[in-house]
Amino acid sequence: MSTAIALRDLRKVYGDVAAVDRVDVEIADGEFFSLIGPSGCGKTTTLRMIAGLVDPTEGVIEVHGRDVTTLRPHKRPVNTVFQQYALFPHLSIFDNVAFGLQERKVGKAEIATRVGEMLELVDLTGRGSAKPAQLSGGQQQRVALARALVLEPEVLLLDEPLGALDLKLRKQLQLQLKRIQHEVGITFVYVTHDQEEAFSMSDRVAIMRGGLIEQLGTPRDVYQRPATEFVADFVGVSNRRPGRVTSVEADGRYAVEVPGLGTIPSAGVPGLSEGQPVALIVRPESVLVAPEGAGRTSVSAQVLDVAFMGPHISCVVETPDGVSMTLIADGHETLAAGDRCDIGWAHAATWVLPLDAEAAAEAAEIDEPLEV
Amino acid sequence: MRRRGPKPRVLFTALVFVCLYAPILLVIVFSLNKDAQLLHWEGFTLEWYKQAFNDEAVRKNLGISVQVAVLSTAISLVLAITGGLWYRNATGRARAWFDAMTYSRIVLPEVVFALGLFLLFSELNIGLGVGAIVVGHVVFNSAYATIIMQARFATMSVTLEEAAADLGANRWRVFRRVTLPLLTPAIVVAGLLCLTFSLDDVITSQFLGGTDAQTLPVLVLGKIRLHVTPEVNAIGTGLMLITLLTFLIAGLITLLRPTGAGGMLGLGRKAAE
Repeated sequence: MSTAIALRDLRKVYGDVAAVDRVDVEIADGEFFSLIGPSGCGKTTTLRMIAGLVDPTEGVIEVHGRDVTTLRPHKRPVNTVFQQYALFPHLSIFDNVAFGLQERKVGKAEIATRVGEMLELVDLTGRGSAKPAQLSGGQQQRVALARALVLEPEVLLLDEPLGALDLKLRKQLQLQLKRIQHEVGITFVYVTHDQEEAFSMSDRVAIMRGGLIEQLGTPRDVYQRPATEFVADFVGVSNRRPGRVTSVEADGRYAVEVPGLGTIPSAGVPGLSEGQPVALIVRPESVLVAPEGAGRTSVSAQVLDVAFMGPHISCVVETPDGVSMTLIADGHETLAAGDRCDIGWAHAATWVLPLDAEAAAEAAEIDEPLEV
Repeated sequence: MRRRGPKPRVLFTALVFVCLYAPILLVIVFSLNKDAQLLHWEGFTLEWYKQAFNDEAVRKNLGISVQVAVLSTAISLVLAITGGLWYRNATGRARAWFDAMTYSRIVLPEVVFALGLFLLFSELNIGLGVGAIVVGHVVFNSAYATIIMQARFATMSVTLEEAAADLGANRWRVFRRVTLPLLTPAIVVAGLLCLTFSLDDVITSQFLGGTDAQTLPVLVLGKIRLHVTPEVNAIGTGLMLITLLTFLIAGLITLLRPTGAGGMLGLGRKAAE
């Protein structure tokens, strides 16, 4: 598969802060690629550099092998769907979608046809004469999408396009976006701070932190095999138990000694050495109530807190050594605070990664300054 | 116990308003009074308006006033728009200087600028007249226009312009198709304000008009030096009506501006539906 976008050693420095630092990525043709991370991590800056709205300090941007690093935005074969849609308030929906075609001096008849087709694609046929202010948020978002797609860009850039919508609408539009991407077959580069949203649509995701890509892989990769504690925490809730590698097996698996749990066999980040302090992580949905058996770790625990979520319950339990863990159980499970129960998880459900307390704290932080 | 009658603060406010507006009312009343001596009410007439309208000097000076107003407004608007565009990308230090220079043109006494320009033009041997007055009016008009335009720019996100560039518009096309339409309400309001300020300016026009170019307010001032004629009242009332009308239009536009940036276009849309 050919490369749609190549970012080579891309860097953007504001003052003495590197907003984006040596980002080096190749995005394949037709791929749905997401950049995720907390605010201020550099994901939007990266997207804006691809669009040409921010000039990189260093590095090269290629679109289908062509160097576009110094091209002005209007000369680039990419289009953007902006966070707040950025529809032109003084133009009708039709004229908003026709804007780019008019700039390209496309004939009136062809514009009418293509805009009509686009409005149909996003289910807005018949709303052409309305003004943006007369449309709902979800409809405006679809106009923004149509306005960019009508130009048949080589790559479509999306900057948190669903950020301003309510949860239910977001879910609907996620499906619609994925369907449209399939239909038009264009490469999508998607920026969001919502890992769930990114997972549900993307072929691959890159998790950014402090201007760097911390991990790049399929959603399954980054969720089940995170490279760092930051990634583990950012992409979901994780139970973390500090431990130490006692031996490295021939197949690359590790034996890890975890205080309170004994020695546990587990897969993990490649390249860990014997004696290295590590964190053993288990996702809450992998922690089961009262399972005994082979290939499992079991431990008795006391329930501290139970939250009913509808389909499931979320429990905080404490193991005898005073470490609390979160688990997710079926909604019919009748656990209550104060109950004692046995919990456990399959050895296959654990993952070991290098210990890094600072990163974990950063991932948990939400109130970071908005990115430029 | 409650006192009867209006409260002192109401009375005081009323007194202030009477003092402010009674003279204006008097001008209007006497412009319609038959008594040429301006002493008693001797019946209604439009004679003085007819006289003013037929006065060669009044017509010529009204022409000069309009010419100066239109020219100084146009130049001020261009300065305000280009200044606003520059301001968005300027450094904090440059912005502070720009603000200081804008506000000083409003705060400092007009007579200082007028005198300064008068001395400068004489020094450079530049003749006084319409051109000089226009420059003088641009000094304060561009400051007012700048402030109005800045207010609009401040609420305008650059995202719309970025979107236009992203869709393939070059810089000029972005300005033409997005920036300018979004600025339209501010341009109309600033323009009407500038026209008004220019039309009733006396000080700058007096200093820079030289011997040939007299604006209407300067002519009126000259006329009352000898004696106040009913014709002056008619001219005054006429000027007042023009000023009032422009302000009314400006006010309507600001009040009726729909949310977002549609402005006048928004009004047109409502009418069309």
